[in-house]
Amino acid sequence: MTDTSAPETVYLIGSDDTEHAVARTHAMQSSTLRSILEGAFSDSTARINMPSMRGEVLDKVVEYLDFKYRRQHPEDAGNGDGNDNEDVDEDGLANFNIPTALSLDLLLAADYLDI
Amino acid sequence: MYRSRNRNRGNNIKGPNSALTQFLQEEGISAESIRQRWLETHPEEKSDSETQDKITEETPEVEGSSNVEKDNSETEESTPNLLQSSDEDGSADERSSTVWPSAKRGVSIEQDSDEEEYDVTDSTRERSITIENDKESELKMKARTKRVLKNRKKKRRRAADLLNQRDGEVPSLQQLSLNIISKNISTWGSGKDKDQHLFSHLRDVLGGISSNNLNQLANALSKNRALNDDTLQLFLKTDLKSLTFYDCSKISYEGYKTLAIFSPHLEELSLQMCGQLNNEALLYIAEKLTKLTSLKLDGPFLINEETWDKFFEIMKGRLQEFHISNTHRFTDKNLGSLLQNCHGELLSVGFSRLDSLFNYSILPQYLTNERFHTLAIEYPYNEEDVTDEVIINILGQVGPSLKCLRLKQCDELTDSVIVNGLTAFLSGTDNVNSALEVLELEGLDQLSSDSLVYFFSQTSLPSLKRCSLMRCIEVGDDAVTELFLNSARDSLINLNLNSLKNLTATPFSVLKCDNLETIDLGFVRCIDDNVMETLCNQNIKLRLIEIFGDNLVTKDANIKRGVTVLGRQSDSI
Repeated sequence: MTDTSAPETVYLIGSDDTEHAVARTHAMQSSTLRSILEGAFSDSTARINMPSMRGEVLDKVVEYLDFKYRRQHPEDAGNGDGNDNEDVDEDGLANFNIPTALSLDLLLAADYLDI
Repeated sequence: MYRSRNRNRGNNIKGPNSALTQFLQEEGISAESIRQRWLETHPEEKSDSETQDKITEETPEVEGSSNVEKDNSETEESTPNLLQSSDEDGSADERSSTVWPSAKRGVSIEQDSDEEEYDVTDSTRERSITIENDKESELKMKARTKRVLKNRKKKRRRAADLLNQRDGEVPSLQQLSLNIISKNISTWGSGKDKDQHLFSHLRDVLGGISSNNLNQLANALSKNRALNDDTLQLFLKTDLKSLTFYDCSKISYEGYKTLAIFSPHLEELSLQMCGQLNNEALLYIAEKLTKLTSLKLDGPFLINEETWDKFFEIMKGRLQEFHISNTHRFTDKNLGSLLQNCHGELLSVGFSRLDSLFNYSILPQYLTNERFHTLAIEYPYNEEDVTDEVIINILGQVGPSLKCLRLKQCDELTDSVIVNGLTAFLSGTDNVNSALEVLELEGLDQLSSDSLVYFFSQTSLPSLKRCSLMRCIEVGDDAVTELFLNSARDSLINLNLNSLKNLTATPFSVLKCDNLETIDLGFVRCIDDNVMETLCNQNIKLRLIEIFGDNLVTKDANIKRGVTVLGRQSDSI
């Protein structure tokens, strides 16, 4: 349940103190973030500390949350024809670019965030 | 699992592709190239062909299909390299569009944007421009080729997703990351310093990862055939208790020994396709993994008779689950050794495709544990070795506690095993058996409807989640109806009625299972559009229907959104 007074944007704070803004609706796709935001101890400023994640990992996490939201809600994505731009790799997975060097940290982050 | 036909590069002579087709493709000979050459050598005829084109333009509906073929072959001609790998599929595309105009296609094909690919008026117009201005048309042609290729790729991906039962959902970030890791893992392991660093980093971080992701990684590695001694190191965690490898064909015996040393707390181990597992490694596993209680092996054909005996002696008193398949060196003597040494603890046994095992009749006297829960006897070498008597005796011993019973291709079994075995010993208290969760009776061609009607009417199975009567070809409507009326209807999740050729549409009117998710109705010829609609409407959780070989199901079938249909004849890509 989203509180009507809750801020629209949530900030994820990485281990290097960088801030990464993500729309609340996008962040709610992660069950971990949802629990934090909706839990009894939710922070009213919507700043969530992620001390185990580096800034560049959080960047990718935010990018993925946006990407997933856009794919699942094409009507909200603007022109509504997200599928035309859809591209896939040879395994048929959606073309969300993940740098090889980040893949391990991203796996851990995704595991923690349940996305 | 879907495998692209193009993976087999050695020989393309498959399905509709003849040797002649392959030769023509290799030589770059197509109808269009012949036409072009003919036009070049007969310039005076060019104007005639132009007139032909114009006529075609005037009657696009009649001649549309042939035009499409020409047009596509033209584009293919312009990019021979790009299309080489997909020619055969491409031609299938065009054939299908010829027969079924895109607008009339069924639900799952509806999304295919064929109009774009086969725009008839566009194509004829472009052809006339081609004659007037070659350069401009060449550019357009390239753009069109790109579009055609993209569409074709999309279609092929959609088909692959369908067959892999992967719905259109966005893959999770975990899945995407695992995909990258599994793609690169083999190069990291054997690569240079920088890669080695990544590999050791991976080994470190995997310590903090959930076992679910670890299993997925093992799965992904097996799928890519990348599980070897190097990548095996990723799973060497001291706290690991359960491990399943689906493709161990590249793990050497040294690898197994390393696994035994570095993961000493393993309790459950499943090694599929473990062709390199040798005597030494098996005994090493038995000695070093002191907490091991469950071992499932597929293809351990290097292990000889003596070693099996030694292994069971070492495992005496602790082996609770033992499943073995695909080896010719597991003999009657070994079965005796397994049962004599471990019978007190055994809770689950499975034997599949064992060519040197004949004496199944000693099983009943040893299977005595009152918590025994799984019995699987599949594909015995001699059908007469697994008789009604053997199975009835086993069920007499462990029937009431059985959670999973799998009998596959035991051709000798008759109705007696159902009446005097299943009904007699699985009926539980007050004819309610709450234990049985999986019942697979496959390829038992002597089973008749009568015995199954008796069983399903006498025994209530409120916990049954998976039921398969695949290829029990004598089974008819009555038995299936009785199953649908059994209390199992509330718990069934997977149902397999593949190849029950005697079935009619009648029993499906009473099929109403609230939890049913998948149903295999392949080669049940009575299945038509109406049955499909009934199935979709009456089973709210249904997500997959397999209907290979059911040619009465057409593109017009009314399929509920969210239900995947696999194997429909009209769904060609």
